[in-house]
Amino acid sequence: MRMYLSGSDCLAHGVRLSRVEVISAYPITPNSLVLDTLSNMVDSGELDADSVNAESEIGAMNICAGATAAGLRSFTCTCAQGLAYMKEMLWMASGMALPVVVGDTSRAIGSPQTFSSDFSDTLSERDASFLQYYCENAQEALDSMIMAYKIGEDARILLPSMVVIEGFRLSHTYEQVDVPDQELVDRFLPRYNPKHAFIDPNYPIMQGGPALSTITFDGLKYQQFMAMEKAKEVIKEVCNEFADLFGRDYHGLTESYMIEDAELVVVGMGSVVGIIREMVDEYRQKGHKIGMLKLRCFRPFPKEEIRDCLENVKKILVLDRATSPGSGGITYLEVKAALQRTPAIISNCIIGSQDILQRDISVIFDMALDRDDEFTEWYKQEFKEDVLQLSGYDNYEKLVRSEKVDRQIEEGVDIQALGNPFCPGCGGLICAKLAFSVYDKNSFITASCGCLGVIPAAFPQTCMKVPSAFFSFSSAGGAASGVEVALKRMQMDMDIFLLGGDGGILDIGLQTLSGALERGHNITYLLYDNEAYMNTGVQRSGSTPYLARTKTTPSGKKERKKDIMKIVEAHENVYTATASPAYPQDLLRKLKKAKEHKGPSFIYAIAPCPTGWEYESALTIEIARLAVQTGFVVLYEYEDGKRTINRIPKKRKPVEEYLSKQGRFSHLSQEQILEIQRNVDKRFDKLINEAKGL
Amino acid sequence: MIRIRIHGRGGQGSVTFAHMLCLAATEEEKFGQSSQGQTWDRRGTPMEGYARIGDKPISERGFIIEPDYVVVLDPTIVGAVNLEAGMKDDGKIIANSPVCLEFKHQSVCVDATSIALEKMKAPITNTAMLGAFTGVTGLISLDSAEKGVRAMLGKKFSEDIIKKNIDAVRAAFQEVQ
Repeated sequence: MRMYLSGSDCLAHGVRLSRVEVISAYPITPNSLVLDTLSNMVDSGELDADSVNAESEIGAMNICAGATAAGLRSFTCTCAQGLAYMKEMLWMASGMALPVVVGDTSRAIGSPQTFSSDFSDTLSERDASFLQYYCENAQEALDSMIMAYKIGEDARILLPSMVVIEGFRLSHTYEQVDVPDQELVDRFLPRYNPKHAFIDPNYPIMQGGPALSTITFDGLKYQQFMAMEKAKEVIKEVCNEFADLFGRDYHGLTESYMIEDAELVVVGMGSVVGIIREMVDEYRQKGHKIGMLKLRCFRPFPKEEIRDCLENVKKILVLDRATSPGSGGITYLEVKAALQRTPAIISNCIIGSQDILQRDISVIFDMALDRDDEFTEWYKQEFKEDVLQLSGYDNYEKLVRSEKVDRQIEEGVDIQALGNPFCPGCGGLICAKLAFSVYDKNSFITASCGCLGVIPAAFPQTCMKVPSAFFSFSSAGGAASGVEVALKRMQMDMDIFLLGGDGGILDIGLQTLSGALERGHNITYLLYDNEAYMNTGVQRSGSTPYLARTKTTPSGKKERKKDIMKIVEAHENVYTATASPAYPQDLLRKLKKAKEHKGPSFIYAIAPCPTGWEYESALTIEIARLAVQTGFVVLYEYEDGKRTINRIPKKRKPVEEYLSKQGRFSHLSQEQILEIQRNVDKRFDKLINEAKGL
Repeated sequence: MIRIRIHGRGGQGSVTFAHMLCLAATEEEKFGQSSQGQTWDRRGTPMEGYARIGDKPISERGFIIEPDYVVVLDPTIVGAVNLEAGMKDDGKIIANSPVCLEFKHQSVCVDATSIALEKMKAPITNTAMLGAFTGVTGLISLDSAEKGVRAMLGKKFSEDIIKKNIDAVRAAFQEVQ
């Protein structure tokens, strides 16, 4: 069937048609579209699978590895730092022969964080024993998904795979795609029936045990190595079978275009090959004998094909997006190694993460045609002078020094500059602004990834007028601990303030939060709880309340909200408080107290989000107030083992008043509202009784 | 290949405009490819949608830096972003504005907000602007534009809402004739 789909949709349809039974992923831009589409498919019954919303990327990969070890077909998707965060489990999955498929919407690994795609995430996992397919367009993404399962699950291979599409250039780009019939796919890809990895009490097997003798270890690694070699043959077989059945031929590991008589062959990977093909035609018309070699697979690496195709070519130009700094373009190095015995001039053009247009290819072709030396050049057409200056160390120093003077702020002046592209009515921003008013120039601000973490810091600009840093999503607590230790050692008396959303603090960041609290670092945490992953477009988090609708819980979350306060309270000497932006005086008092507290402090603030909670942006304060008036949020402090309730509503309003104002609860039945009321009542009474010492 | 860049603010449907336009083009056996700028999707922040339409499969991807047409969904964005960046000399701007705006390039202004408020009781201008775009450029037929709207909105919205949107397409189409 012809459909108009994005690359992300195509990965999701590939999962659906492959009848994957366990899906687990963690939101990250630009990957979230895949997860959102899959959640809808599962919710509507279109796909009979369990979709598990993980608390981190490594959690997602663990869930998939676990499900595959138990005997089911599984899928996860991620990109950039997400794939990096999965690293440990990638190696475990391949070592345990678990044919999981990862859909990667490739995005460069930070720092600096970016949305651009350069394959640095997947190429840096080239040694993880994953088969890697790089897709040219949405159609190839869909087809590669289906083939990836068939190849990876083949008894001769038994290895996991990555299907790689470029973030935005493919993931968010819609085009006409032919979606095959389920019946045909079923014929091509039968149900997963593992003979090596499963859980069966009647036939117990141990999976993934350590191999302490080098003979066993090396023996297993040898098997893995040989499986990857064998995959070259299997990929070709599967491509042929696919072509017979579906009429689309991907020619195995590579695809060559006009290379028979070519004097110059350009080697590329990913969506850029489409443009190269067009330009080859144009240059052929002008009389230049140019050809193209597309690398579909990077692992296994098609060195035999490269040798066969390029043995007699005089000039070869390899286009690379990612480099191995200190060495060279990653694809270039491998192509050159494959062709070491040929006398060809093999050059390297590094195109980075830029979008490449016809005219760019034209410049690159001309350069390759004109030059007879073997060169390595960065294609810098789009670079602007200021960026180039920034990246040179000397210039960077100058820039920072010259700006230092302007940056010093006077006593009593706001530490945050004006002008931020936040959604109107952002509850989190109100909390953050109140917090910033408490701090002065002797403060260090850090944030975990999230709406408030990423917006104030678009390199090289920032709205913070005090020293600040942006580390990673998972480890803001750890980084802040390091800063605290260093500042103490340098005898600098500064306040350390950490701003994080629910995802960054109580899901992926929980480990480093707990570590920092337990070690007693003098850090003030502010958790702005908008109850979902808003920065990636509203996906369920551990903090999403019961029955609330998000993109990954289209009919409402089935589980209850994680009570982060209980976890924080389990640590010694932490000043802990809850707050709401509707009660600014209360929030300010708590922020000041937290700043003075010797030891860690943790402030929880409910942060209504008009975009994710679906209400008119003018209602933020009203909703934040209703959260307290209905008892959804109870304002209290907890210190030295004692709980003090700050505000007990004389007469609590029914929760319906709070719920009915938000679109995310619009699907609730009367019965469900009553259930929520009972839950709120129970928690409220428990907190009050605890405070009274009952 | 024709390149169209759509400027609006987050939440106004600039990207949806691109999808509807390309779906309309595919109704006419053309090839369409639509995408969006790389951004955190914040409500109210400048957003860009991209549409490419051609007679052959389209391999160019990513940002449109040299558009043939620029569509402006929100009058308040004029001056906030450089709408004419990279535009071809004979390029054309189709802008939503109650008053005629001055551009360096040839332009047509339509009061799409009023049309949207009248037909749909909401200031969502992308469908009205699709009508205006169709009328000004003749790149697709009115019939195809309506089919594009239906194909895009049919997945999410009721027949009543789709009809109102199609009314907006027609009204704006008439307006520019």
